Amino acid sequence: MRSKKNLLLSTTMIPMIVLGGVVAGGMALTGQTVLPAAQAASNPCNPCAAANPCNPCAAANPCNPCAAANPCNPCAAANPCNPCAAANPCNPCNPCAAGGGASVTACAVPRLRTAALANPCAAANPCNPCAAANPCNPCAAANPCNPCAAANPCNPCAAANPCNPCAAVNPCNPCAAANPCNPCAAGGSAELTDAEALKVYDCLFPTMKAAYAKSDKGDASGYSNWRRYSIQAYVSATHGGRYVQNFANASAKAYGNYENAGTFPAGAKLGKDSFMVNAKGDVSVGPLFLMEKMPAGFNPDSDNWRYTLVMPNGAVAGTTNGEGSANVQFCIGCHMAVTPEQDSVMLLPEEYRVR
Amino acid sequence: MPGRSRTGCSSDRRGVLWLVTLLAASGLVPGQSAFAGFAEGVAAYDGGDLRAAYEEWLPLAEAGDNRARVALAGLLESGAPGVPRDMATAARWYQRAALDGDAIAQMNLGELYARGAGVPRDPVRALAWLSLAAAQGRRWAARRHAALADRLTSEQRAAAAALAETWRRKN
Repeated sequence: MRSKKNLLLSTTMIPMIVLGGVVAGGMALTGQTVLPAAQAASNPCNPCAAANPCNPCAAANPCNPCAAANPCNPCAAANPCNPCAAANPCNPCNPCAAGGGASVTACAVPRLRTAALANPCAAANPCNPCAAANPCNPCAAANPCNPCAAANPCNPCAAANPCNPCAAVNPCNPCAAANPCNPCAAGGSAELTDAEALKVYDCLFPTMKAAYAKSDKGDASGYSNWRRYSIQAYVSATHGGRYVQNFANASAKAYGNYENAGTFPAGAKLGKDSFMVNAKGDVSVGPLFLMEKMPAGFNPDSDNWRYTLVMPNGAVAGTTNGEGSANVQFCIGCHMAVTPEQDSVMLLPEEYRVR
Repeated sequence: MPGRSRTGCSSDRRGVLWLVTLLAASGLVPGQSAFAGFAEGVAAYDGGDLRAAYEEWLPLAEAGDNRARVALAGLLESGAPGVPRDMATAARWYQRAALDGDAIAQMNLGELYARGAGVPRDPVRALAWLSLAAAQGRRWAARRHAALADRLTSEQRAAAAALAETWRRKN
């Protein structure tokens, strides 16, 4: 029989004691106390209101907005959109869900905007799980499985649903592309028709130029004066599934020969501006991708190309052999994958080429 | 052998693993994301996985990395699939980097104040932040500063200069 001392020092008890200490210590540090119900109800920021079955004060909720020290507090006047929500793929009360967007409202795609009205996160949607009065509210403790489930392909209750985005073992579900509320939705834009892509690009072009100009890099402003070799924006799978257009300066005019371009001379410059569209039709400016052929010996590993990634706020993520060179190392790896005859240059789909 | 499991893992080691797991769960030791790199975030961003980029940069930004703060702010400012637009949070990340002397952050924060995006419109603060970025050699900021200054009164320009000086000394 084990003594009490041995029991306390056992591998089972030590962690329990530590956990107890951590919990108690945490409570002491934050100094939080449980408010009486009446006091809580009178609090304008009180997310614990009795009418709210999604009580975010639950101790088990890592995004508890009641915690004064919590930077994710959605009650904060300056924070209209709780950033905790986005991080929580299962958050059924995500106040950001209906409001997520992009930077250039004027360029939004009408067809996708209309489709987004079916967005299950939209405030006007009868299945909105945030609506306290909604009988479909999946937060209701007494309702283990939302009756809206059948109509909702991403129903978190549907244990058997392979597309269930809440499944712990499935951080990024295959429904992503079709679900405008899917927090996993990553990589790539919503699909546009050629006519839509043309219209969005024309609308967005001045914004893109202005954004890249913040970098103070000459080519980030000047690329738009180079010759364009794509007839319109198209999806580039090798640039994050973004819509891009191809530009080349005078020294890179051989680019127009495409597969027969040969090796480019020093001074040849290629550029791709980019944008993304979300499932609601909102558009946002993406990065500017630049590559410049440098003199022999610059960097044999990159075929002497210098890669630069300019972000839309003017920050330069990196430049080969310059500041943040390691940040654009992946550009080299990807571009070197093309056939040697193409001198590390990727070509656009034939149907989008300027002839 | 006493104290050793069939797997060869001693009970002491198991206890340590338990402890580490518990501490990680309690947030007292950093999780894996805290060791993420800026370059990995850029690679994810380039690959169009903006959510992954956000998650790579967030712990770095919280740890004081101004590159990550500016990148994160830019991501939130633009908004894109996987990262909902959040101008107020973008402004806060810019502000943290701007107060730390980052010129790109100062330039973008100045622009947000000029447009009233994510922060109340305030041409004096806008001018002050743009002047600090311009003083660090940012040409775009200098042009924007000059254009904005033309529209302000001498009192507003003086107030902006005083603010800029205060922030410069804090840095």
